[in-house]
Amino acid sequence: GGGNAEKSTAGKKSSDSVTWIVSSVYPESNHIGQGIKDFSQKVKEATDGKVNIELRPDGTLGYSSSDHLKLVRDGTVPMADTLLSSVAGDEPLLGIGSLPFLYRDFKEYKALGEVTRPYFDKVAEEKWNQKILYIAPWPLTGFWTKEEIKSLEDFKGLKTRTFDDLTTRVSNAVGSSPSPLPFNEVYSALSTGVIDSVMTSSTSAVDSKFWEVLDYYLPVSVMAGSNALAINLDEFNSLDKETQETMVQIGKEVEVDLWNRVAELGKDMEDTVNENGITTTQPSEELVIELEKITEEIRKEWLSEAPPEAKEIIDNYYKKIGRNGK
Amino acid sequence: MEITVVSLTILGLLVLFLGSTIWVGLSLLLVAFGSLIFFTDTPPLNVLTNILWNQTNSSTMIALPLFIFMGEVLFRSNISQNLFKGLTPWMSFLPGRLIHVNIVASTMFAAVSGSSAATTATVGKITMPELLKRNYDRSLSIGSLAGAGTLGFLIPPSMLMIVYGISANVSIGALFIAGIVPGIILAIGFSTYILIRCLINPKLAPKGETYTWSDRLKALPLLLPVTFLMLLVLGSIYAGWATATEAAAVGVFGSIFLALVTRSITKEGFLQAVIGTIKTNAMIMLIVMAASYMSVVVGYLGLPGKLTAFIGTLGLSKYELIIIMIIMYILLGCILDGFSIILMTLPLALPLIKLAGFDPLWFGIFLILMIEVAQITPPVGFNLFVLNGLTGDSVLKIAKYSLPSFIIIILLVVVITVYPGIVTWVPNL
Amino acid sequence: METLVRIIDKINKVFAYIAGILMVLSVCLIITEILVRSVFNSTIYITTEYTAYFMAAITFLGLAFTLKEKGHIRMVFIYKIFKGNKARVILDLYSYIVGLLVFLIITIATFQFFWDSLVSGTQSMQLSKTYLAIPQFILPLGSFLVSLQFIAEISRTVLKNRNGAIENKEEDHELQAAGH
Ligand code: NA
Ligand code: NA
Repeated sequence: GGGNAEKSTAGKKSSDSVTWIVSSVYPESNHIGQGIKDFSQKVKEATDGKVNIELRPDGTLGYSSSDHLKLVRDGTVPMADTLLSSVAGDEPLLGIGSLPFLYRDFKEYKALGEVTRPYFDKVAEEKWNQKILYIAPWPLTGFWTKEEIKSLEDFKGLKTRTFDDLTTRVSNAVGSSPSPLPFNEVYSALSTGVIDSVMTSSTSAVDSKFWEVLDYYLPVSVMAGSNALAINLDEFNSLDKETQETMVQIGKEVEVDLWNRVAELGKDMEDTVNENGITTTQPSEELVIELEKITEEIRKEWLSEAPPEAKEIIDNYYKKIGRNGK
Repeated sequence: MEITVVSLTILGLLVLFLGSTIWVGLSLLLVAFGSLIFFTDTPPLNVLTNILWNQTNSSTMIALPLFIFMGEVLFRSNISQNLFKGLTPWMSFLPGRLIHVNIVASTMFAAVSGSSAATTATVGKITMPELLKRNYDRSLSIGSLAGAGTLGFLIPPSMLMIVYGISANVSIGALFIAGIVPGIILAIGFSTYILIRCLINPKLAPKGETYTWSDRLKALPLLLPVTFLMLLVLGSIYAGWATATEAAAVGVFGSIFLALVTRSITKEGFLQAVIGTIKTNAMIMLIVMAASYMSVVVGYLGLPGKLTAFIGTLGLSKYELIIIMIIMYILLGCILDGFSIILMTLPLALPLIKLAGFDPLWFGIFLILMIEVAQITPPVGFNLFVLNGLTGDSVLKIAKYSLPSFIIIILLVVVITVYPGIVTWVPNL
Repeated sequence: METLVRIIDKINKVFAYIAGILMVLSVCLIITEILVRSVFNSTIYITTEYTAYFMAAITFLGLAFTLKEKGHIRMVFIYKIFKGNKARVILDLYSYIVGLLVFLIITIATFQFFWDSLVSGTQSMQLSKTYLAIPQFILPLGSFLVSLQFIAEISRTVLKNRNGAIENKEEDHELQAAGH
């Protein structure tokens, strides 16, 4: 490479090509990393190598997901893949997808995603100077425990790992004791007994080999994560209109593909944990309804402090899925 | 080749700044800052501020000052002196006699403190005057402590393992357990060396008082406080009361409790312990933050990927790769401290190591051993500084005394590379 | 000028003690959390979050005092090449001025970082919903204190040189490192 190529690694444009790096805290190997790889491959092909996107996975750039909104806004990184709920401290609306027990299954979660998307696009562009290229889901988050959970009673006395305000409130609501721990302490804390339960997705359960330290999985949809791939708006606008269109179009393709893939992924991952000795306990309908009921206050309180669009979103969402959240 | 140009520019500037008396942390900051400006379009200060905040706003990182604090409290109470008095009668029959106290006391302190420098300082403060007063061989006395003090990082708890665990996303608990067996092997290695040297030349360890079994039994209670602290810290982790990080606070609490119960710390001593900790922490954290900035810049430049790809094309075998790593870490260890070494090389080394089929857990222990080496190589070696302060001998002289320890640690590196099970067997139980 | 140096020294000593108090407080928080969790199977909620803020404070408030105590590591083997007071004074002034410049820039940058959080009203994601601008203020504060200390060190070096107070003592170690 010549002098230009050297400078291009972090967002410098030479006359005819551009290279952007993407900050991500997830490994290259999971569906989030694969999504970015897929996107960059397609964009590179469609633009004849004019637009190059390089992934920096595993948080190698030293940032947490919660830093991303501001970093992309300022162009400190041109692109980032961000867990939306992690930036709710900067933009509360983006946390709406992680409200507890808002959806019962992946289909309902998808419906919520469709309702929120235009609102997210708008706030990202107008307030945070970035364009969302696609939003990809995680499998639903359930309870993973050492003892089997059959009824609400069984939550009492558990020590559950929590990582933010909402998970802490859920833990309190079901009657377990919340233990906020950094992610890299979770495995050993489970093995020594500092905690005995976690709320996470089957993907993370497989990544962390939770079958070594846990025995049961309760597949209720506590919540689910969503990750957005976003690009700094100035960088995006520096492209010609045609290339911009191409990127948006490819974003749509990758998004459809990822939603389809994750619907399957959740089941595959569950099979993997079952094969390794974790028992899945299907929750009774009674338990699901009880869980929705005892967490109602959390959703209400969140809505009362949230931006006005949030209420609109929730109303439209319930209309769309044809049931009432109360 | 562009990565060569970029790497050499970075290295050259670093040597220039370091050599011209600029602080280690500031040299790293300046070089990283310059690299972002010259080689990328990234706003360099935005990157820096995020790093400064993320590196310090960390509930895991606080274990660092807390373990230093615990060492400071022990050091300023008479708990550490009692350890020496308690161990002395037990060592009197071994060839090398009291020099073994260096090893045993270091091993015990390593099990309660998270840092090598803290271990060396605490043990050396007591053993050095006693050994030199009794005319023990200077080189063997100082050199063996320089080596044994490094056990502070290998035997859990360990601040370096916490830093590595966070950066490499490896379970800290598993790392702690993995360090125990290599730590004991290393301690035995150091003692064996003393034994052999003193069998060949008994004059190295002059004859002193003889002790009876009754003396030995009477000395046992003096070992109680440190034993209690060991059990408390390790017990709190393995009983599921505390996480590895929280155990640091348990250690502080235990050492203050012991110092109060034995009435062996003054108010001034306590204040000195607090201020001493703040200073050591600030010193280490400045380098940690700067090194982290440096490694982020290296990430922006895409150097790890390019270098990994480059070394990938060399088609090195597993062992060739490890030999290159050993040489690289010995060289880096001469000028950098352990935290910088881990943080700066990890984005580069970890992908390579994984590609070659090594377990990141195993690599953690490998890295800790290489950093133990770095502790005793000049010009920058923390254990050398500590012993320089304690004995007055020059850093270079102490480094020469430490050469046998250096060789013993490298030997262990070779052994765990050939038999990785020594490291991974226990954590996988 | 001597008064200024003394005042800066004193201020930074006070902040070092504040850092010490925060460290002791962190120990208390963690021990309380362990007890509450083990004995009452409950939590005090803020431990993880606040010990993290305290760690930032312990570090940033201790940097300046550590500089004054010559606790930060620098390699001074070059002293051996340029013997004599004058060269040493020039080298010291050079590194102090570089240090001052670096920390003035860090002060401004971290102040903008803090200001951004203040304006955006960024809150923590934990139950406390703490405004992050509050703990983040420690960064520009600590960096500013270091800048002050560099000014004090420059003044001290100039003063000593003028008064001829620098002893021509050969330091037998090639490095400065304290605190261990
Ligand atoms: Na240790
Ligand atoms: Na060294």
